[in-house]
Amino acid sequence: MECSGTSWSGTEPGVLVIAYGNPLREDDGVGWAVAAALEGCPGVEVQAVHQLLPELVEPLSRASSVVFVDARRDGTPGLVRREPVLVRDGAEAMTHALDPGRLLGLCRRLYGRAPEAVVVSVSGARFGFGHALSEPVRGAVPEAARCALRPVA
Amino acid sequence: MAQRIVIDPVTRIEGHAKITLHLNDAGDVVEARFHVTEFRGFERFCEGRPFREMPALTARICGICPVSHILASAKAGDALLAVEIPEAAVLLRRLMNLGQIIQSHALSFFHLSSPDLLLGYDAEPSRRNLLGLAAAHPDVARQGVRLRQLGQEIVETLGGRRIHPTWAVAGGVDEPLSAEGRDRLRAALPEGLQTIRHTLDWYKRALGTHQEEAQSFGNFPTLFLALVGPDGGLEHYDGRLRVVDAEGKVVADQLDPARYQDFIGEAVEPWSYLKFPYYKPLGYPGGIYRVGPLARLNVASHCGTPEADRELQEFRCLGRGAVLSSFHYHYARLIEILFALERAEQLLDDPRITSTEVMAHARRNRLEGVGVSEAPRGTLFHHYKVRPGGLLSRVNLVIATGQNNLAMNQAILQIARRFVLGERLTEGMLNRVEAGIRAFDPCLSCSTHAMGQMPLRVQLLGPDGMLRDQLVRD
Repeated sequence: MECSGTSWSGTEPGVLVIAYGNPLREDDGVGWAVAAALEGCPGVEVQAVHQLLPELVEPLSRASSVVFVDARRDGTPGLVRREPVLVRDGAEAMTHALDPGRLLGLCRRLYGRAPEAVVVSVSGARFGFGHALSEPVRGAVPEAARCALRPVA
Repeated sequence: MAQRIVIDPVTRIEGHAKITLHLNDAGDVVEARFHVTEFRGFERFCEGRPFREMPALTARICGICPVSHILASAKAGDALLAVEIPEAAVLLRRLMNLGQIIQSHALSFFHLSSPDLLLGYDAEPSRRNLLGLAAAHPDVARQGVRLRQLGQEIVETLGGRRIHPTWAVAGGVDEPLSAEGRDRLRAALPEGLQTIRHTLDWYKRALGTHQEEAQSFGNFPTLFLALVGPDGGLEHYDGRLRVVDAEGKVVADQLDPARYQDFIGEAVEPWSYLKFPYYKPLGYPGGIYRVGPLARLNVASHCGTPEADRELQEFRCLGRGAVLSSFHYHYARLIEILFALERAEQLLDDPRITSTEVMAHARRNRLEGVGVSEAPRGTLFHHYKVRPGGLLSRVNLVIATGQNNLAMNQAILQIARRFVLGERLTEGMLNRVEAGIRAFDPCLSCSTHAMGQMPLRVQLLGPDGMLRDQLVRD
């Protein structure tokens, strides 16, 4: 998939894509591959990160909508799914990092609003040490990128 | 012959600690130990690698302060090349170090410690975290988010990414700073300065309500060690080492950091994987010293920027010589954020900073090199020995958290003696022990991105060594 044009500058509300995972753990890095495919798409700001951390709430608060891209362990390898994210509140069970729902909850707490959000996930086959994606997951990257660009209702 | 390997203690890695308190027959706390039970092994498995790989390899030691390891490692590489790197590369490395200090201190103060300060040590642990803070004090939480974001933006603009930027290398840096990048960073600094001024104002007003903690959270005489400039000013990237005592008197000055082994010893104890560095002239454990923001402000004669210098004068009123309480690491962090923002402005206004001459090219010219810089948590040493082909034969890393190890253990004892009454542990006591450790901002906490909770086990042992009580927080 190819995109061209200027990405969202952050001054006008646009679509924020947050791809997260560890690119050194094989298919866990699929989000980074999707992020690379989306780089340069007009009206879209793309951030690839290892995990969801609190400082993401600031760009989140300025976005019209947000698409999280992540790998998942269940399902047939290469299966792409798109699901809404519900805002989660409450501070219980804070552990290593935030999940999308809690990140949206923190955003609403701090900035008074949370954008509409979906998560696009790709089922992985391998999560060992290594840079390379498995065959089915590599093949699913264009579909995941198209899926991420569909308007968030 | 069969060999039996025992790993003891065994527990989860990444930021896990154990505390044991020992009581005498009268039920008084007589000993306290802060056990660090994680083992990383970087010093050993880097051996055999080319020294030029070390900035990228050692960056993986930490997700919060990778820049510190990159810089110390690149400086050790400079020493192996025996080169003087270009002026612009020095300015850019300094700027990146300041960016990291801003983001790391903001994480420590706003995300990890301000819930204790604003919600109270006796608040429910489920509320004592960033989300609890966001509910009760959203303005403070927003300030933390913005300052951390600003520090990360500096790191990302220079290094291409926020975490593990492999940009500083032996001989200089990989990429110069563009005029566009310089202007964008310069434009972002005034908001950061406004934020930290506001934070310092409320923190100083609130300080009076934390007197009990300030008196007992690691409040004892030690030495303090940090880099200083040629004029004795606050220094984070280069310079030489100064040691001051509890009265603030200079014990040793302008020590060559490359000769650190002449004056820093490293002891080990069987109950912790963290080494116990000490100041050699005073022996072990009498050579206890502290590093990090509190030490840097105690050691430096001045900051060198107008607002930070004014704050330093006020800060020094907290002590008769050096400021002794580890609780005041928090205050020192805020002053260092202010300094870092002011200094970043100066660096970005320096026309040399966009020079494209950022790399000195050379082959290995020495077989041994030491790189030293001030990490957010204190002085960091990377010491490499290489074979003629450039492969590492020995690596020694002296990290800031280790240098505070003796002081952290003493702080635990002081807190336990003050707050542990009888043979029952209470949640309030555990909270204070945790907060006392967190004042030092040890890497085992921040590298796990712990938000309000550090996995912790506190054991209360009687004089017979029997377990009397235990509290576990995962």
